[in-house]
Amino acid sequence: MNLRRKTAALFLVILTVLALSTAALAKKQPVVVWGLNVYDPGTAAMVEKFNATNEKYEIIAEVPVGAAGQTLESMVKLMTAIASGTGPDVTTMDRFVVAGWALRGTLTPLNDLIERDGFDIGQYMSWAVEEVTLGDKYYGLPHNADSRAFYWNKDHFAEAGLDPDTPPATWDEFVDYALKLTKRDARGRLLRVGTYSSTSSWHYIHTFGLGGQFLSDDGRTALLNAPETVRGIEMIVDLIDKLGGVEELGTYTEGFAGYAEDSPSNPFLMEDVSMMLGQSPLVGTIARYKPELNFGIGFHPVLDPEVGPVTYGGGWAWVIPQGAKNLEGAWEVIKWLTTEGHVVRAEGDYEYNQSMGRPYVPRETTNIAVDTMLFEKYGSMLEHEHLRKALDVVLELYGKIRMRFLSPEGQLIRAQLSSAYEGALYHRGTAQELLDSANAVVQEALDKFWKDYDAGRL
Amino acid sequence: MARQHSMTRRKKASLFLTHVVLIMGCIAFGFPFAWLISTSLKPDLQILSFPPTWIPRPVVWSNYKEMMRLVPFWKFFWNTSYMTVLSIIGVLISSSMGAYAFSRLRWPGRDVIFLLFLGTMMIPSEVTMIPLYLIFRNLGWIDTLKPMWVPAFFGQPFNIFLLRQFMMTLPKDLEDAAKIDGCSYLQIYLHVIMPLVKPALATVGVFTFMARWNSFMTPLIYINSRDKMTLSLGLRLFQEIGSTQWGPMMAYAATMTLPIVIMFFFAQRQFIQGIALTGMKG
Repeated sequence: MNLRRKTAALFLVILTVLALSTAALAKKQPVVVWGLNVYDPGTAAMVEKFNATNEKYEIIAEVPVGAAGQTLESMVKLMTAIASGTGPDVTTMDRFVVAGWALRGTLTPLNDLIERDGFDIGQYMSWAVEEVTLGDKYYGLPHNADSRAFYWNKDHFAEAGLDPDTPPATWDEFVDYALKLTKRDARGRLLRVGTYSSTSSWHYIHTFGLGGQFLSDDGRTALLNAPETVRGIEMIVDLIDKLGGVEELGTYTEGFAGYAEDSPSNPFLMEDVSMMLGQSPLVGTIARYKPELNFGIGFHPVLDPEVGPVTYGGGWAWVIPQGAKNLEGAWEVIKWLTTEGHVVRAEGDYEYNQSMGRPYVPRETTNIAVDTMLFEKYGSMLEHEHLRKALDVVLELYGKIRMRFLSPEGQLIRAQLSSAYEGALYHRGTAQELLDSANAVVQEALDKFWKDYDAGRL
Repeated sequence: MARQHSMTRRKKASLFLTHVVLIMGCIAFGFPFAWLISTSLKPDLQILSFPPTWIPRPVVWSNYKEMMRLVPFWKFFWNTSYMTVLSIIGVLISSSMGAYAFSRLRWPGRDVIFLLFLGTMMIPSEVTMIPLYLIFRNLGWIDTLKPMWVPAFFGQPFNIFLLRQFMMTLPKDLEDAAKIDGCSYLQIYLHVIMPLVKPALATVGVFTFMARWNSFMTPLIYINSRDKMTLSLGLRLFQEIGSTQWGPMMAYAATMTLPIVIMFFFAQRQFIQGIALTGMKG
């Protein structure tokens, strides 16, 4: 073989190697994400945009349902997947269970990545960030949000001789209005109830509004039977009894209606209930199913003037499980999903709703700038003025949100509080007795957890 | 004569009462299905209306169209059919063989093993969830449809019990005659027992069909990829599409339920016969 041929062969080999390595470099790295429902038009638009614009990573959306690590089956799925090294790079998680997963060593702290990139964590609502923070470590980026708003039916107010534009300011006023707004027929059967909420967390607002909390600051002592919570539940029980008792109200409101905030048969939409504490996304449901409903929205009546108006909220986070195969990619994805991704999703949702001839109310995020922008942009497109104003109030609510509780036993605390609250409503015991017993159960679980944690057994 | 007349009247009254009770039962059981169909054909705002509108005005088919547009229904349908059919085949083969061994063959420790076998029905599924997941992971079956149908080929206590009860009612003489004619155990199983247990097999088939078709928990645990999702998982997607899509969700549920209704109509006679003969009550 002469020199020319040899050179040509060598050149060919170099070219082939270069071509192959360029192809390998050009191939995007997969980032497996659990919990992105790409059958939702907005989410589909979001994933499509990321994959089209990011040069290095590609989102592989898996487990569109049951990824939350909350119910037993999803806990088994996620925990076993993480433990066996088949877990995703990113997963969604209800923020109140993040602490439990993080303390069990299953989530990746994000501090190093945040510091390295100079990423601004302050762009998210502080209460939502608190929900994913343990000590000084961040275990996720907060994604969406909802708060609890006080809704009232203005037509019912006018009919009962109350000022439709002035909701009750105090608890006493609220009780008085609820009694005035309740209507019965000649035989005493309920035609309308002044207020009712089947949500088992109604009393959270009382605990916060009276200045209480459910856990000590270090998270090791349960305070479920604190005087504020006991008093709060007693106030609600007293009101419900005055209105006819939980059995009658429950039968009346649940016989034919669903309480979910996105249900078209929500009793507030059906005008069966005149005042209600409901989740903020109810505004979107009203816009879609009954835009002409003459309603007001604001803060729950003040319970203690020294504390002032409060509300509480919740939502989801994106977290990176331990052992994620593509940590860098996962970090890129969660940053994008909680910033630009929201905007893309809103565009996709808007277009879908337009195609269906429906009004569009943006979903709330925890990103302050994004929320303000989305509410301004899409809120101004709403036909009804009262809906536009309602969105302004929703933004205002976010300034007064209290985080529920940050605990490895968050799920248990929620369940025990619900059980005590329901027991008190049905007079299975006094609020004090029921909360004492709930507190004992939670404290026992907390003691066990912290004992194992301190001994490094988790 | 008068007594006979009175008896006829009493018989008629009893028949009338029976029909009234049965018709009321039919209405009670048919109500949710009728509601499902009706809602799937309603425009958005009629879903809300109270008192409820039974007959949608106008009837809108767009919920079905929208449902098909939102999710790959036929992909989910294929996955569900695939694992359901294989499960039925597996259950029918393995359970009938197990039942045959437990009811017609004599072998040491048979009844004790049967009792132990039955005892496994008492173990809650939550207890076996993690060990099963680990086994399937080691087999490389996570994110495949195999965990949904392969176990069906290894016998299932409830179905074996049901078939065993049925097989025990068959006269021994038939088997003896076959033995005299030179049949092996396998031939007896295939040519004598199987044709006689058709009603019970139909019952087991229908039970398996319904259980697999509607199964939610198992696919939820083992399936990750969207292209392997089943119909029951798909139904949940509608609740997570922004706000719940009620109309398309009802259309999806109605379409998903249809094969069960069709299946029941086809297997109805044998299914009822099977239940009656095995003494099982739903």
